[in-house]
Amino acid sequence: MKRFSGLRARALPFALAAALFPATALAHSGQPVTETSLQAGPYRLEVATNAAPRADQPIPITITPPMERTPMGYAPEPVALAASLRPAPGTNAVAIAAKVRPDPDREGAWAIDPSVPVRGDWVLDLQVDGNRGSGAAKLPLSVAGPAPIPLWLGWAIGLSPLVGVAAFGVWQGRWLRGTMGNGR
Amino acid sequence: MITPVFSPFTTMRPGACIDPGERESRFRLRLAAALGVLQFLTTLGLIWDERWHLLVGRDGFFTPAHLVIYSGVALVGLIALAVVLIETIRYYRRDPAVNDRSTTRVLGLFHAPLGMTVIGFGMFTLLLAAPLDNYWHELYGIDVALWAPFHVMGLLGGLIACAGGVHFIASEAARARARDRGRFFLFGLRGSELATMVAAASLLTLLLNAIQPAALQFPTTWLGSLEIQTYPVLLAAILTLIGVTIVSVLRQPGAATLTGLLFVLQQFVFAAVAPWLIWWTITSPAQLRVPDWSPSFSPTQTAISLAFVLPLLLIDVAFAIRSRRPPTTDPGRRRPRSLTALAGAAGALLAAPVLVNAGQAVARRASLPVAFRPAESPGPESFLAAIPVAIVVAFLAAGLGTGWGGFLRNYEQ
Repeated sequence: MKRFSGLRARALPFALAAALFPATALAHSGQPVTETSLQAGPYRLEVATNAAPRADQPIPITITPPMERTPMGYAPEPVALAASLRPAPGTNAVAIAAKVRPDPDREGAWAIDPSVPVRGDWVLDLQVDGNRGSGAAKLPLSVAGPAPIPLWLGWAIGLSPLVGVAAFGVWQGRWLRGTMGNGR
Repeated sequence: MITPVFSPFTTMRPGACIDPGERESRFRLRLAAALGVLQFLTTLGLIWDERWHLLVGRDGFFTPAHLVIYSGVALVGLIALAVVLIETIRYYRRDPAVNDRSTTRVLGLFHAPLGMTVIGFGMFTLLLAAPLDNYWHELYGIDVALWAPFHVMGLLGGLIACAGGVHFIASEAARARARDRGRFFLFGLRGSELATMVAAASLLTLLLNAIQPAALQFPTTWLGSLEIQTYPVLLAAILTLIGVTIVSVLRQPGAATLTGLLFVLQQFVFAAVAPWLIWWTITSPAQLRVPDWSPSFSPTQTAISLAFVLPLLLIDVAFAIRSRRPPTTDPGRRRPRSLTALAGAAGALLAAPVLVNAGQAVARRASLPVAFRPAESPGPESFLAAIPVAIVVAFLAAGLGTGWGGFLRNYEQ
């Protein structure tokens, strides 16, 4: 019985990981939140945002390149993509780089997971280079922030260490007086 | 009686005997040295971070400066926690060096040096402020003023930890005085007393850093219908507090001035290293967002920090004059030192215009982001209105410094 219990205890973490695996595997293949077609010079790009943009969280974006006819059928056109994010006027931030990598779920497509540090309006700039020349496009993004807390609550939390210091001082003062009274 | 006791914290020759109290003091002094180095690096990270915010812009949480700051904070916090736990275990095992004379009871269960407990609480506060500050930046942008809720919370945590550091090393100096111990002397002060001044200089660095916005962005405050300049009042409070505290602890002429000079030395180190750190960690000069202000070390601008030494020098002079008077008939009663308070206020009121004008001159010559631009310079009437307020505040600070300094001088826990 004990041996069986030990076996169950060792198996539990693996069982949990196995239970979570389908969820993690399916997470990336959910329905996109927004889908947009952009014209970047001679190229037409399909851009999908796979989650509602929020500050300081990765914004999963998938970019599908144009397709071209090949002897085997249609295939993604070989082009190079560069991306960057800049704050729109009114957003107090600086530009950040956006790393482009192949999308593991879609052949020929790219994935970008930028994380912007500030809520507000941003612009995703895309630069495409290929056999048909170069082109640029931009995608506006409205990045939401976490649920705001009131200014007064922010200050109350921010200044709370002073309350801790005062309470600690009173507590220690009482202990010190008690210690000195006992002659220790 | 000297009892040979095994301790993992000392290197003992076989058969050697050592006083447990001496052994404990050596352990604590080594600990203080290690914490001092970490605290210095963390403060350097803070200065670096301030420059980074201004010249590059906060592009995320894991900037190089933040990594330095929070690594230092985490290490100091973990060391403080370990010391509290180890000393508690040693207390309950009745180690002769760890008792109610060398430790204080915390939360009814733990027994540890008071200074170490306070350091731990300060670091915990600072760590707690980090994600909250990140959250605030997400909401309100990268150029949030230094006087924002969670910046202030982080500064409070750092100040509490610095005060704990002063207490920790001052308690060792108190133990050394009580036992007439000490192997290193300079200017008539023991090594632990000199270390107390270094710790006080670090606390002064953080305090003066915290009130910087009063010089540029929040130059005046309204008291009812009276508009007063903010910076002279805060400067009087801080310099009088630190100056009176250090002369009360050490009771040595020149202690406050020497503390001020140690502070100036720290400023030179920070001013020289921080620009190099920015150049080392940016990928290209295009990252610098202030067109006519690139990171550089200016000895003449840094030398302006000598103005902070003037009030401390005046406090030393006042203390020396007061020391020549006969002692009070009630030695147990702590009274605010009027002369030292006036000296602190006078020095601060003389130094404040120099410092404010210097800061404004630097800030106005560059095309700063909006949030960093200095406010309109206040008029002379607001400075005149600040004079009586600065004097009152200096008296309060002198009283607090006298009490705290007396406590630090005698408290061995």
